[in-house]
Amino acid sequence: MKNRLEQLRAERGIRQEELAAALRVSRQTISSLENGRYNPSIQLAFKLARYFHLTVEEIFIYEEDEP
Amino acid sequence: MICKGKWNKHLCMLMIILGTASFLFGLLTFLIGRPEGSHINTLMGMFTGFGAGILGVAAYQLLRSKLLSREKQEQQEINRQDERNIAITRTACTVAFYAAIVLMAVLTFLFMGLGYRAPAYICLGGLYVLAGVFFVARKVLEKRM
Repeated sequence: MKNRLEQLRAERGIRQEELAAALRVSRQTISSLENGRYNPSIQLAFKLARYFHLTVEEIFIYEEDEP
Repeated sequence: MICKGKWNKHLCMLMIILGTASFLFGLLTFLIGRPEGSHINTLMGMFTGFGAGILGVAAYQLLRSKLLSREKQEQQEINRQDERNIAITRTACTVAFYAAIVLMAVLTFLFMGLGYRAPAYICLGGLYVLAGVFFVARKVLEKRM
């Protein structure tokens, strides 16, 4: 699943550490999310959406043929 | 709950009690009881070592919780509850489970081949216990999820 996390974070000038602290996750989790190595739980997806004042669909792009 | 690796005071106290009991049992049985047979002596050594190990881990955790700064404790708590860390631990546990199954099966054949019937049956029993725990856990989780 692709996401716009890195772009959104860069636009707002937020560091990975700050985002991680706000969501109470590790910095490595933010890094893995941005690189597409890890797909978040639905809770974390909603937390991210609320943090950026967006919807989950505006952050995460689901592609039909993904496993 | 599982794989979250939660350390709290009660768990540490339980480990200290268990560790002390095992350590003293092994040491005192060896010193006072003077058991006959080298395997019993080794067993008492294992009790002593196991107890000392548990005691050491519990003492380390207690000390660390007292000495660590508030910020570091907070960061550790975040890392502990971090969903990616939990997912990694769960995956590692799954890999370890399959490795244990293969290991038990290989050991069963190896021991039987070498003519050690009792260890072979113990390994076979362990294999069945692992499989049993897996199916029970699956049934329980099916009801919960």
